[in-house]
Order: sequence, then structure tokens, then C-alpha cells
Amino acid sequence: MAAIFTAVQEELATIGLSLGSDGISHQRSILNGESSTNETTKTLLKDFRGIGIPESSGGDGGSLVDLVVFIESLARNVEPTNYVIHMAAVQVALGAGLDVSPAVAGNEIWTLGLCEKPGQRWGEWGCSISKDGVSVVKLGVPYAQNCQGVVIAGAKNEIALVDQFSVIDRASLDPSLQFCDVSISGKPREIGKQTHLALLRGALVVSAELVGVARGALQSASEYAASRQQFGQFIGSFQGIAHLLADAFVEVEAAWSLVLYSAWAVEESEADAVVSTHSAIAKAGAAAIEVTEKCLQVFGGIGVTWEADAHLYIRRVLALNAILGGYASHYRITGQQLLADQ
Amino acid sequence: MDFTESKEQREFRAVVRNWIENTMKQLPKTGAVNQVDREVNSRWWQERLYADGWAGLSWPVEFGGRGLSSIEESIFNAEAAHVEAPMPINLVGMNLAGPTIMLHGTEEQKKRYLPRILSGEQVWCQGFSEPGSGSDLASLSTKATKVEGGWVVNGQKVWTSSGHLAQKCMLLTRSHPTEPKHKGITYLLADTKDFDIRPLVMVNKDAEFNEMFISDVFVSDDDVLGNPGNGWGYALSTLSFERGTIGFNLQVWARRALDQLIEIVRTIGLSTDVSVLEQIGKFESDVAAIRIGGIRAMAAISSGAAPGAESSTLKLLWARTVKNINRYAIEIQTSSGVLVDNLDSADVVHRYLRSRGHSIEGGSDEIMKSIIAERVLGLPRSR
Repeated sequence: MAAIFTAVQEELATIGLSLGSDGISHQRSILNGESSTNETTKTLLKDFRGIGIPESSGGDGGSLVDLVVFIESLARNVEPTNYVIHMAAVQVALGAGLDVSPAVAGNEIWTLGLCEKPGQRWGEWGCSISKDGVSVVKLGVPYAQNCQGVVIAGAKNEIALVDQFSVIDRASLDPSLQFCDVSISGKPREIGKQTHLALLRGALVVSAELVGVARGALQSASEYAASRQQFGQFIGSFQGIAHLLADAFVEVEAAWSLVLYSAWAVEESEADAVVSTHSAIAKAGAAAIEVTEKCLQVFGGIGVTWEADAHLYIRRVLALNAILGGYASHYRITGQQLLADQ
Repeated sequence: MDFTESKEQREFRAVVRNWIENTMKQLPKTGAVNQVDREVNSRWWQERLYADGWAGLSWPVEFGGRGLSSIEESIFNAEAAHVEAPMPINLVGMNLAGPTIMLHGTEEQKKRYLPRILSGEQVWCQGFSEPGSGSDLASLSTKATKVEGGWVVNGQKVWTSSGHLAQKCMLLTRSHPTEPKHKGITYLLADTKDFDIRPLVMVNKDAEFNEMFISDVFVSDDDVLGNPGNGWGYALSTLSFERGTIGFNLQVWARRALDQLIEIVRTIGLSTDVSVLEQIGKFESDVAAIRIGGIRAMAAISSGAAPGAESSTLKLLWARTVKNINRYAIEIQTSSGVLVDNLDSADVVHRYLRSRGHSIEGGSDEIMKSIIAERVLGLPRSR
């Protein structure tokens, strides 16, 4: 037992990388208004929906760490898929003690409903949830039109699964990450028995995608810098470029260490799980935005063209950061946690 | 991926904590101490470490160590740093000179030097950098001329930590001036008694570093490390020990800086200010990332992986984080933050000024970034 990847985790990373390897071309198809479905998502939802879910809940066993390792590698090429949000929603439901069997068995796809008004930050949700009914419009709910269940958070961070809702499609800057306004009205299917750490489980899954996209952008920009020549030299030999990318690497590694540790700490209910997870979510969002923007810069003029891929990474991380209530709110909560401790 | 400490490690930590706690009660100099007092404490700490068997935890038993792994060593260092225990006076000897001699020295050199390193009888310093050779270490020009029975050395070294305390010096010299720069270096284990050593006063008025002027100093053939002319390779070993040992202690120093900042925030009543909370959150994420990165790097090395660029990554993150935390501790107190007429505030200023060196010493930020760019990101050489 040590802080290194297990054989299973190594294998999951390899599989994730391979499954997501056509992500850029899938994302391009959607961007060009072509097909929005692909075989990768079908495979993921068919064969990989049990990762990190206990066998007692119908899953494959393993831990949240296994799941974040898989998703980080899957996301390197911005694979467009509702799989990640589905898995995040299931993790929240698991953490809240909800019955996840319809989602794990493959009968239903779920999503996450958090935000209720523009500018709302993590944890500021206002809706009241009771067994008699919920009436709220959740904003920026990813992929809701194809979902059978929405895992929502209420004013006291209570968690519920709702299945009576209507959906209005919205277009986000990442066309593959469909945002929806979801009007929820009626009795929840089930209300969570516990809330401790539940939402953070889901947020870590999304954070793993943020880290993976950032790492993918960094790899792409590094390859470009090692092959593009100006002034008779590879531009990666200029310190202005090389050091910018090295700084980006430091941020990606910091975010990844935090996500890995937090996934472990949440599973083990470690004393520092909450503060660590908020710092991980914050770092993942902040790093992903900073790194993907830097990577675009490395491509120079071609980086701001439609046909270059640099913007695909930026679009994805901005959308994911929004789903998580913005990294700044997690930095703030991290600070509150530290100053509250005495 | 499992961050649980094993039962043995937890037990080891408890024993260490107990020893440190008891020993700290007998520290000769207490309170806010100046550099002279700090060095008194450091010498005393080295003697106690040696007497009670805590010196050279990760050194092999045959050389007087305990034969434990770097994990136990890092547990000890973390516990020591947590209560602000002194640095042992012979840190350079135990972390750099000893391991280098174990790897490249003769049996006779090992016998002669290793025991005296742990006891602190011979304090070591590192004669590497020169006025004209900082980041470009291999361009060094301190001259070694072959004479009967040894070498005569002339030149100047700089930034020598502990030089003013040392009896021995890992001395890099240019012995073969017509060879390419990496191939003409000889690594000497020199006595410092004939060096002219002058302290360098830093921006915070401490003088941890020194200049060393070396004129016609004779070093015997017995004190050549390995083969003459092959010193660059041995120097790289020393540098890798330097980065390795720094890496695992970084997080505790960063954590202490953040704890001190949090105390200041509470004292001045800004605990609910949103911009302060966000800033503290940012610092926390970086401090935690340094800690976790260190654990992961150590676990990878223990499991047999070759050390990668982890130490460069952690060092960059650490230098930035500690510098920024220490600056913020001044800024946030506005007018009272810049006062030096009371011990608390003067200490904050002192630490801030010292921390400006973190991104320069032990490999500058720029060198660390080039290492990452080349070894991790696969970019072409950038210098």
C-alpha cells in the first residue's frame, strides 16, 4: 500500500487514454453541426458505468480514486460525452445514500442540478427539498434532455433525485456540453439520508476531467513547440515558450496531486477531506483555465483560428468550471475552513 | 493510490515525536534567536542527534547510520520542522558530502570521513558556485595544478552555506583546462583551514553564505574523489542528493509559513474578508499540493521508479508559494506590516526577505523550468 497507482489504476488509465483518443475529431463533428453521438459514449455507458461503485450497489467495486484516474486519462483529447457528468451524479447519489441501481444497471442516465441563478456560487443554492415536493428551476444542467434523473442540491446541501422535470435547451460555449434549464416540479423520487461529502464526490469526478483536459492541452502545445520553427529554431527552445509550458506543468501536477489525494481522503473519511477537496476543485478549475489559455498562446496566430484545436480545450474547461460554481468560491470555502479551525 | 501511513510508520512517528519533544526542552538558546544563537543550537542539536542515534537515519548501518528508508527520514524531518527544531550543524555533510563519498569515494575515504560527518566533528560545505559560474556551474574556473603528491588550488567560491563553520569542503576545480568544460573538472575533498572565508551579508542581514578565497592551497592525492577529470559526474550526484533532500522537507516549511499567516489574519480581524479568504485558499491548495507531491514522489522512488523531474516541480511550487505567503503576511498588515521595531513584525519582514532567495538557491526557478521543459515536456534544449 503506497501513494502510487495500483495495477488496476494503471490499466484504467491506459484504457481511458485509448477510449478517448478520437476525442478531438468527435468534438469537431459536434462543432461542425454533424453527429452528436459516437461509439465511445455508447461503450463508456455500457461497459464502464460501474467503475468506483461498490459491488453492493451493483458496481464493479473499486474506489473514487479508480474513477478519477480513468476520467483524467479519458479527457485528454476533450472526448465529448455525458458519461462524466452521469458518473459524477451517481457519485453524489451514492454519497447521499440514494438508490443508484437504475443508473448503475444501465436503465437510466443521470445528471447534476446545482445552480439556480446567474452568479450563484457553490453552496448558495436556495431551493427547499421535501418529500411533498420540490419546485425549482435549475440552470446549466448538463445533458438534461437525455436524462431520466437529475440529482439536485438544496439550500441545506441536502441531496435528492428527481425524475419529474421539463427541459429547455441552452447553448453553451462548448457545443458538446449541452447546458439546460430544468424546471423541476413534483415529488422527488428519493431524498438523501446524508449529505456529508456527497456533493464533493461528484465535484471531484468533474475536477478529474478538468485536469485531464489541461494535461491534454499541455501535451498538444508541447508537441507543437517541439516541431514549429521560427528564426531557424524550434520555438520550444526559446525560454519564453519553454518556461511558460513548464509553469503550466507545475499547475497541472499540483491540481492532479490534490484531486488524487482528495478522492482517497473522501473514501477514507479523513479529517481533512472537506478542506482538501475544496482546494482540489479550486485548483483544478483555476489551473485548467490558466493552462489551456497559455497553450493557445503557444500556437501563435493559428491558435485563434477555428480550425486549430486550442479553443476546444478552453471551451470545455470554462464550461466545467461553471458547473462547479467557479473555482474562486472553492478557494473561498477552503479559506473559511482553515480560519474556522482553531 | 493509498496515502495511509503504515502501522510501523505511525509508531516510528510517535517515537520520533517523543524524542524531539523531550530534547527540545533542553535547547540551549530559546526565544527569538539571532544567527549566532541559532548556530549554537544547531551544533548542540547535531551532538544530540548523534548521541541518541538519530543522525544518518537513511545512511547504511556499516557507515554508522540506521539503514532506514527516505520515508522514515522524512517523518523525522517533518516532526522536527513542525516544532521548529534547529537544523543540524552538519546538514550539508549528512545530506550531500556523506552520500557522495559513499557512492564515489575510496574505502579509505569512507572510513576517514563518514563517521566524523555524523558526529559533527567535521562540518562540510559545498565549494561549487563561483562568481563567474552560477547556474552554468560547469564553466567553473577555480584552478587545480598537479604537483608532487597532490594538487595546488587557486580560485574563488561563493554562496557557500556553512563555509564559516566548516572544516571540510567538496571542492570542484578546473584541473584539465584544455578539455571540454564537463571533462576537465576534479572533485576534491579539501580542508578549509587555509581558505580565506568571508561572510556574505544577505538582504535580511543574516550571513548564512560565504565567499571563499583560495590561494595556493595544497590538497593531497588522498583527497581526490574518484578520478581526476571526472568530477562533473560526481558533482551531479551531489546535486541530485541536494534536490532530493530538499524536496521532502519543503512542505513543512511552507505549512509553517501559512500557519503564521493565518495567525496574523486572525489577529488583525480579517478572518471573514472574502478576498483574504480566497487568497488563503489559494495558498492552502499550493501548500497541500507540495505535501502530496512529496509523498507521491517518495512513494514512486521507494517502489523503484527512477527519480524524474518531481523535485524540480516541487521546488518551483514551493519557492513561489513561500515567497508569496511571506509577502502577503507583510502586505495584509498595511502600515504595521513593514515595522521592524518589534519582534513579531521584524520576524515577518526577516522571513520575507530571506524567502526571496528560495527561487535562486539550490537551482534557480529558470533552471528548474528548463529541466521540466526538456525532461518532461520533450522540448529542445533552451540554453
